[in-house]
Amino acid sequence: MNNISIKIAGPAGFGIKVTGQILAKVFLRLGADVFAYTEYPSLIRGGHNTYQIDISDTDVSSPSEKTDILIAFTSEALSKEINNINNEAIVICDEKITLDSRLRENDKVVMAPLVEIAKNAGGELMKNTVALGLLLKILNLPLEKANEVLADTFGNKGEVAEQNKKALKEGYEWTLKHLNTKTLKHLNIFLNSLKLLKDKNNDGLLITGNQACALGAIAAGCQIYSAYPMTPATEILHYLEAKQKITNMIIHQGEDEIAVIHSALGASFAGARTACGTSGGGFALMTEGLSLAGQLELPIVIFEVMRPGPATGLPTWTEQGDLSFVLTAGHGDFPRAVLAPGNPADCFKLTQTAFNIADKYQIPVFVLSDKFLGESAYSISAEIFDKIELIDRGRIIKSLKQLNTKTLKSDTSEIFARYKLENDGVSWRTIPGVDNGEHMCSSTEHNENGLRCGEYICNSDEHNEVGFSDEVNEVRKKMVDKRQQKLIELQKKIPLPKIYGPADAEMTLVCWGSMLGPCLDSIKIQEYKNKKINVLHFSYIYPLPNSLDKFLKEFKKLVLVENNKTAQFGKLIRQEIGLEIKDKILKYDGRPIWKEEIIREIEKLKN
Amino acid sequence: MSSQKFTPQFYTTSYLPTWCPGCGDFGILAAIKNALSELQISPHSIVIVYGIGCAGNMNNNIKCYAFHSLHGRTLPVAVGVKLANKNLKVITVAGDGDYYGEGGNHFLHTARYNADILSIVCNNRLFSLTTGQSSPTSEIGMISKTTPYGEIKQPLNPIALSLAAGATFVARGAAFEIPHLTDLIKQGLEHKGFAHIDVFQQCVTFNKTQTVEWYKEKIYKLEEAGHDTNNFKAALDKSLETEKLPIGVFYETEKPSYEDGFEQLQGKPLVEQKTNYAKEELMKEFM
Ligand SMILES: Cc1ncc(C[n+]2csc(CCOP(=O)(O)OP(=O)(O)O)c2C)c(N)n1
Ligand code: SF4
Repeated sequence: MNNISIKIAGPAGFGIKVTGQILAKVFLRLGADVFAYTEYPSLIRGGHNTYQIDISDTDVSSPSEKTDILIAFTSEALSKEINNINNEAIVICDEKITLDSRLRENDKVVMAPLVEIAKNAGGELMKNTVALGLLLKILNLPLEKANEVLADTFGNKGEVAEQNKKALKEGYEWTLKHLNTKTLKHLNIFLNSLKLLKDKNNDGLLITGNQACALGAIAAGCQIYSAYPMTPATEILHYLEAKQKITNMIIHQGEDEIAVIHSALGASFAGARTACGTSGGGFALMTEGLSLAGQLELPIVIFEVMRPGPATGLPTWTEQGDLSFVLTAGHGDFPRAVLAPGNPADCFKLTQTAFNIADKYQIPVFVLSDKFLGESAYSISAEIFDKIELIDRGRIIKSLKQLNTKTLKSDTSEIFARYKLENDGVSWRTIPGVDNGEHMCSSTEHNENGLRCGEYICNSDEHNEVGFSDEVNEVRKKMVDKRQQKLIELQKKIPLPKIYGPADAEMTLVCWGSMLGPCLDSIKIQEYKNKKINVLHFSYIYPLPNSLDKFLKEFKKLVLVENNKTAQFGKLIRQEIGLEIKDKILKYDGRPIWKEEIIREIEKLKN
Repeated sequence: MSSQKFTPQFYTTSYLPTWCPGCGDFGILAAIKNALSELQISPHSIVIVYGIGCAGNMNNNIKCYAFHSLHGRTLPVAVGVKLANKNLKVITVAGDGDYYGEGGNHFLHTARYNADILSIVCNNRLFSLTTGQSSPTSEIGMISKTTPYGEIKQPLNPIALSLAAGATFVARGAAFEIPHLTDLIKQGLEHKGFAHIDVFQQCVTFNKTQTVEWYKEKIYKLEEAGHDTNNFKAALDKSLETEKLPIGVFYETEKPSYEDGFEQLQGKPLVEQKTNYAKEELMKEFM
């Protein structure tokens, strides 16, 4: 794997992200595989923001621990990043900033009049575009691609577009005039790797996990998305809000997360495909609604995009710390499903699956991701987004005609039983407006047909309902069993985790959700050393597949990789199948696990 | 009346109410069924979202699509129902503890959204299902299980709050004035936007202070007092009266409802529409 890592660093408000995105797209359009990772504190101005782009000739799905090229806009940015650059790195900064004494002799520092050139082009703000131009020439990349992306970003006409174009060109020319790129050691390696790109087709898209989840929801026919802003889940809300005129979705920003989930449930009851989304803190508020969904047997999809807790924690950083919470949230026993995609392709696919599971089993389903997956941009093939799963709304009755053709009538003698005890635990449900299916969606315990003394005639316009409050012991027991049966049925359908890498591995990295990328990239580093390591990735977290215990016995040595302190997934495995994975690589400093770290930890485990 | 398809009895389920004899909730139940009948609203197009409490226990008693939600959560559920299917008549029924206490935030905001929902609050000034504790509308000095030495917190003013929050139909009724309450509910149902009816409800078991007799001495009807229901300031003034207690419509006005603000909902209700996955168009920005 040939890899270059470029980082842009500076305070918030310097346009770090926009510049990074433009550069990432230039590489994408050149046919490269790109991974873009951002770090930023929870503030609007100042602080230390970075946008890191890893470019590769093969799949890349995680950031490198250290970068080869650093663009630092301020002295502070430079000193904060100085320990994160590789040996012989290229450092680009403005000529006026104070250099850090920790720079090594063989680091190539390019001090350019970024601000001055930007001012000439139209304004200091464009120093990032100047730096971009400068870098493009250093890497010997054509200007056209960058101009294309600039035009897509700032438009074709107008002052801003013109100025940026000028800034880009002048940056480029500065390198041409002032820099002997031949003296840049290591550059040849970069350039060689870039040459490889030329053979690749470029139908690539650069997309974040959050965006892919949002697209998955649209493709799944989700009609209402209900949310309250909370980083790092907010991008889903922003995206869907912005697209509502195209998608025809209703996006509801509720007054708090309690309202958000209850509105989603109201809409689900009324027959709409519905989702809500938040991060851990907001989900804490949703838990009573989750329990309500369990009792009402209403389908709902919940996006939980994790960030480090407890409490407000680290709002803009990453962790897989809410798994245990999501698994047990909500009072009482009721079934749920938890899916954790490993990359945007998975986000798109599993989100659609989540909606189908929710409808089919009439249960709440989680799509569990985190800041790392949610906000990092991955390059993936556009074809992924052609793969649409057939929408399965499950046992839903939307018209009187449909109701009459169901077997309900004969089974229950003219009574529509919303919570009828079917063998698989899933009952038919009607939706309001259907004039023969009035029922009560009751959060207190209800009996099966509730209408022992009811007078409901199926064929007429007038009807009785089901779901009367009932506290009889047998009814209670049957209802609990009915609901739990759905989990048993679902479990039969859950696929085994996916194996990546050699089949006959000596060691297997066990991971879930977003840690797929770092694990995959780490075994690629290892490939060169011919180590027999593979990756076992779980995206179906709960319920776990039936034959998992047997399946896991086939592996020689399991090493658990999780982005949290207490190995929450490891605990789940132990709880469900009694297997303890003793060797663990755990990280919980708000950053994802770097592939290099995984290798170092593996080496330690071997000793 | 006999020619009507939906008589009040039509909305009656086989499940008998579980309230104490003499409970004000009987009167509210009757008024709701009367109003539905008088407007001839078919049960399948009604969704009533119930809270938790004695009032919420009405969930078993009206034939329609019922959603028995959680304590305090009737309104957000109702908002979701309405967004999904704007053609439904959406009503909430909850107690004062549920609606003004646990659900207070939802009350303020749903009023502000002006969602097309009718809220009926069975206000007995106590938590009754939990056997008599102080509620947000208990008067200072009220003796209850949680205020054995008398309530020391101020009660909130539901009508003034509702007006301030932006409700577009604000009324007060009494559980023992059934024809009057029926009329208010009818008006609330016909109102487009957020309608809020606070109902004086006697709790014969736990509230020995605000009894029917106590109320009867204090109440008077706004419509008989020449109150102008389009005058916001006059409505606010009326809401602040404490010696005599006005019932009737305090305020009504026309404003676009929340659902109507969505371009997507100008035609069919959402449940009858399809989400459009316009792949080509959506992909452009990621290239
Ligand atoms: C979240 C939650 N907290 C507390 C309760 C217990 N609880 C049930 S009913 C009730 C109070 C009911 O009072 P109110 O809403 O005024 O209705 P009422 O019984 O007076 O009609 C409470 C506190 C609950 N069910 N859920
Ligand atoms: S306790 Fe009070 S509110 Fe509850 S049913 Fe009895 S009288 Fe009605």
